[in-house]
Amino acid sequence: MIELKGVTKTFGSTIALDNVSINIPEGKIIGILGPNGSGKSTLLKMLVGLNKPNHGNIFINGQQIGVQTKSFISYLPEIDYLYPWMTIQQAADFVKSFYEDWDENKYKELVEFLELQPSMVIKKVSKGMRAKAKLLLSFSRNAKLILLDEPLSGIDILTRDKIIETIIRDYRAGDQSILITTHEVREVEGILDEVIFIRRGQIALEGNVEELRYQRQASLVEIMKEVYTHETI
Amino acid sequence: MKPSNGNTLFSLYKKDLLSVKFESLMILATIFLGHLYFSYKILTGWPEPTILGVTSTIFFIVMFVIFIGTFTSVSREWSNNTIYLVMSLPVSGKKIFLSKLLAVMTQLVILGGASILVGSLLSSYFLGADIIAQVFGFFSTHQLLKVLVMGIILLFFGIIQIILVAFFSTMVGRAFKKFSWLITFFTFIFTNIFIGKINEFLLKALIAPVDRHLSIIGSTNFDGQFLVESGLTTQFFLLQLTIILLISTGLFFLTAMIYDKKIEL
Repeated sequence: MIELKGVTKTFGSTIALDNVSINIPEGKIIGILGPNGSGKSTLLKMLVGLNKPNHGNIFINGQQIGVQTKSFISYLPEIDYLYPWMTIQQAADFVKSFYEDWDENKYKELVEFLELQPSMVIKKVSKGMRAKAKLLLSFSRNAKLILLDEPLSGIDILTRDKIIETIIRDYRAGDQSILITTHEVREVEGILDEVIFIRRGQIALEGNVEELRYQRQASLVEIMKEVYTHETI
Repeated sequence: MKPSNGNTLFSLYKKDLLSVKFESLMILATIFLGHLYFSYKILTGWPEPTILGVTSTIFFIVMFVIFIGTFTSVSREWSNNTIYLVMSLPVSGKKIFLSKLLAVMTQLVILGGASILVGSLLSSYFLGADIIAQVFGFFSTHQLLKVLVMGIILLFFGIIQIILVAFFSTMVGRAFKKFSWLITFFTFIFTNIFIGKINEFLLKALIAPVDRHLSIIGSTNFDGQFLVESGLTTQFFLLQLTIILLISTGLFFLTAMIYDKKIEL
């Protein structure tokens, strides 16, 4: 589904992604793991067209990144990106007018599940509520590809659980793909099918989570420590 | 159901308009309060013709504030991080900037209109409705109405052009990570100079020297009546309008292209 061919991205003298070539399969939950500054967020931003590669090509379903690919991607950035003066309902009305895959029933169910009020003004709610509001807009769609950039960052433990529940709640295995970048590996370990470890802009390790655990007789956290402690795997 | 182009454009336009709701209400309040204050001054001693100066000054201040708002309507997306949402939407730069242009024009029409309306009412009150009727009659009698209409049309499209220069400059500035505002400022200045040169060159090349300038020449005829003739020919008007439209279209597509191809977060 997602194909990166020799992708390099630099910001001044900093190399965010260094000649990355990878195929990300369809219909799975994939964790993109790594420490801060390893290139995880840049990778997601490139998939949604917020960053452009200096070299190489990116294809999603065989198409180059553009208006067409954006129509089936649901992107949730780490930062607060919703209009602060909008209510949750206004934000939902705004977002749904652009997407064919908006599911109104799912939206209503999620409003209840996440304990949100449509009349809440985004700038007036807590960080946890804003995180839930972002999640609500991302998951009210039946998007083919969902990109979640640090969805658990700075969120309390109870809200984290709710976020993870939301991620897996309506997930359609085989049909929908979810890419999650995080360094909170413990929380997401149980829901990941595949994992990609990024180190200094390069793929350090990738594979099926179960297989990696079996081969190394270690948890994902331990594998991550191993990957980032030693220069060679 | 697949979202239609009209729906997505309307959503963007509504969002752009609502995001300046507070500022617009503040400007509207300032228009009324400003006129009220100066009306009080006139009632307590200032000469009555001052109202003309006051209403025109308020009108131009309103236009200037809205124009400055043109720059912030784009840069606000960055300062609020909402650009992450805008850039992830399945819409092209053309639609993004068309909605912003429509929102600014709506602001100009509503707030400019309110300023003209309040100014006209107060001018009629202080100077008498007769004077307004006389001025209008003067324009009609001396066939200046046509010139006035052509001038207003040119001004309208000229404003669109300047808004597009503002959008273009902001996008050029945003294409750079550092000194974005400085680059925006200089791009705005130099683009205007460049457009001015192109305009002058095309007018010189395409119009006969006698019709070249917009000029209103006043003289007194043998009856002692004020005679006015206009140098704003239809040919000049059409050519100037075509140049403005061509340059505006070019700027619009260039701005959208920079947004689509060069802007990164």
